[in-house]
Amino acid sequence: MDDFQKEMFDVFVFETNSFLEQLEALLMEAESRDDSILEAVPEIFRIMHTIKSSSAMMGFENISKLAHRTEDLFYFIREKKPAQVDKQKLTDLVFRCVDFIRRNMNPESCSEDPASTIQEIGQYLDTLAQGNAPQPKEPPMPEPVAAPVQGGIPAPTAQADAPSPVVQAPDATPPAPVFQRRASDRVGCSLRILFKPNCAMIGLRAFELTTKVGRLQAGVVAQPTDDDPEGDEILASKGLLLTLPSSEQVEEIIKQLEASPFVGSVTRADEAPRRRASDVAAPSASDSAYTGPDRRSGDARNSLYMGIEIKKLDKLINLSGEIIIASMGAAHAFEQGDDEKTLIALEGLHRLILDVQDQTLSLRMVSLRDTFHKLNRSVRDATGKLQKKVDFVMAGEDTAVDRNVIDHLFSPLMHILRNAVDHGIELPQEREAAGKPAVGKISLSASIQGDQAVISVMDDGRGINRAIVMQIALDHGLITQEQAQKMSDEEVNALIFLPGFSTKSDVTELSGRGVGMDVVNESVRKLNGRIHVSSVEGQGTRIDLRIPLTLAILEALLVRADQEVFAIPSSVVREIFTPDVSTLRQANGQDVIIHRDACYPVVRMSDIFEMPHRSYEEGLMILINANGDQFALFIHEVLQQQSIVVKPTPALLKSIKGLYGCTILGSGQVCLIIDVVGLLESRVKR
Amino acid sequence: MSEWTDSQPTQEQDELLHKYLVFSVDESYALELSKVREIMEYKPITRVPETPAYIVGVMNRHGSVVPVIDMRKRFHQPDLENASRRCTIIIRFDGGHLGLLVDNVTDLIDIAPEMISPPPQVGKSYSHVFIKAIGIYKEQMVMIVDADKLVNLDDLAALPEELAEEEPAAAEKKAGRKAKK
Repeated sequence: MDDFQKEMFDVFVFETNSFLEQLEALLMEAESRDDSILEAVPEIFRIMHTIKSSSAMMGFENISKLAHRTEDLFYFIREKKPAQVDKQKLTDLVFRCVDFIRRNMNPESCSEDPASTIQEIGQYLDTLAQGNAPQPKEPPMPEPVAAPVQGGIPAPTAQADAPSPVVQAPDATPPAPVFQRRASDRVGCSLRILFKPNCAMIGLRAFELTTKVGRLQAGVVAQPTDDDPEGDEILASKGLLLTLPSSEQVEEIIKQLEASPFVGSVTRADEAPRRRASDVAAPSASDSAYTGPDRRSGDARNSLYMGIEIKKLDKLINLSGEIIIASMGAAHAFEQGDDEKTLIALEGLHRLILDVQDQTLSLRMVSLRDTFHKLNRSVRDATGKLQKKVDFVMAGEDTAVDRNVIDHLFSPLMHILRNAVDHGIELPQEREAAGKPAVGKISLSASIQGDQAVISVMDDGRGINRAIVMQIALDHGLITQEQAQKMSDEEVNALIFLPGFSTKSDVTELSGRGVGMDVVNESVRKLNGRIHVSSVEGQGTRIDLRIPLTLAILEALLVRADQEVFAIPSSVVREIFTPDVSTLRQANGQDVIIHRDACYPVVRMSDIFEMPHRSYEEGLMILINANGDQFALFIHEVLQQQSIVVKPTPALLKSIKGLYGCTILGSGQVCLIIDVVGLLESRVKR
Repeated sequence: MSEWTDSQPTQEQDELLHKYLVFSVDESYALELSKVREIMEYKPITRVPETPAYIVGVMNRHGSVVPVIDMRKRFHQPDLENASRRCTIIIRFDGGHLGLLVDNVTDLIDIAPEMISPPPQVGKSYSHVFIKAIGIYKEQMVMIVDADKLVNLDDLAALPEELAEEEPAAAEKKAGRKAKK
């Protein structure tokens, strides 16, 4: 893949992912509101249509075929409005389709054959057709227009020299029957104009055409609009979309357009079907065929691109203008030798820079909506597989956190939710026997508290059974009998996050292999967050994750060991104390210290960094508590507590356990941020 | 020396193709100029635990963190007494950057392709693996270093680590401000 194709591919993945997310959200919404999925049909049809074309363009024939077939199905439903549509069946089919596309949207693994799904869709289509249509001869498969599917146009990979493969789409076939029929229903029609690959000043050409058509018919709407900053790119890749209020004179208009210079092809296009003629006039950014900055994010695979509110960008641009003026002011004051004025100007400048920083940080904040929708989907899958009935409620989807945090939230939340379905919620008959409603309830909510996001998962299932948890922990050797007797409920609850722990004796497809919850622990630890579990037996469980809003900034304790300075995330520091040498002991060659009637192993920072030892009298102990692991870290001095900027560890050093990241001190020197638990693990291994 | 961006027009790349930066670590070595990003004066280096000895640590390069290897240690030569006069060559390495701590940078030379021959296969010189080719410049032999082999990635048992990949450069001042409060 050359650079250009790579870029095209990235855009394709981004766009398709957004579409798939949109699809899932649509289906979930239709399902949860008990609305008929039929309302979403036009939208699904449109998305499938777009995916079909773009995947064919990128050479993913299997995706294209599947999307084509799905499009047929929805086309049929939309046009024929069959009486009995099995919503469940339909939703499942689309989900399978979505999963298939996700799996195959990758040049390395795109060879999966969609035949079985296609066949199933075909069968269902037949069922619908038999149940509904008295005219079975009508072919339910319209030949799409601007879609260079398998046959007509060769795969774009063969023609990488062209500026944009999309531009090659012009296929002189007459508009397909679908759209003719659409055009005739007095709703007006849309024309997609593709420009020739060599077209220069494409924006201007588009403007010319819009004006030209505007003279023939009033109320023409062009997409992209001429003030769209990305207009040229859209024009080059997708062409110009003109929406006409009426389909009169269309043939004439097409003829005129075709005769215009640099026009490659003019086709009647499928405009967003859910819009009525009345609001066609509003060229809205929500037409996802173009840009939709709202919810394009949240998936790790998407992280190359993200949508940004124009307002925020404008504000940034204003601020940078102000900075330039302020810096000139400062320079002027300095030249005049007015120290006081210079100082004031510098302070003003500093304030502006801080504003810029706030603003830039806010650009990275993304709402949890997409993540929540995806989670909704996995709860749905899990309940289906386990024959449980669950009412899933979400709240606070608009809570925004840094996008690099979001990328790491999905998998722990998924595990918690699956666990709630699998282990928490009882089977309907069990629930009724216990006097609870047959349908269980799981809620997922998010909110902001201070500089943390709190995400809670609550279920009204059977709760955590202390005795069973302890027994399992004992059986697996995770705790000793002695420990077990002293444990508080909270400590017992925390046991479920230990690696290798599983309360269910049988292994199900979803959980029970003893992995899962420790993944949660690990992910949350990496995010520098905390987990809290509370549970009442028979009534339910509540798991709270407290996650910092951003990974870019960290509250940390700067400490010195020998001559070097390290940062330790404050979230793991429980206490700092001066060691009383008389409480130090040796156990199995390991130094331990007794503090407040508890015994903690001692780890010396100087051992880790092979620095000269100092006696315990010359330093401090930091009591570290990170998700259950407790130990005393011996250092020489605590410098201060402050917020530090986390710099990513260079890729070369990523494999080193015990390194959370780096930061740069005021002196300009790099300071290591210690991942205390990782550090301990790498110690223990030896 | 000024920096250039990663996406250079190919013409300029071609010009760079035969240019080599000569540095010395007791002996002189040459490095393809196309690999070089920048030459920096000596800056304090922060040690990193659990790395091979030749990785001396990390340094601050315009606000990003770059690992540094000591070419003396890499070529098994004794440490220099006055280390502060040395300098760091920043090169592209494995998708990121890498600093090479050298005694000094001495020259920028052109070696025509026909003047370059594969390294001799006789003898087991310690630095054999890092030498890509032997070039002749002004009738002198120059050893051309294979920059891609300077760090043995197996020395750093690779474990997946995903966090903090995006560069939060913008966050700097905020932290400073919070600290003040």
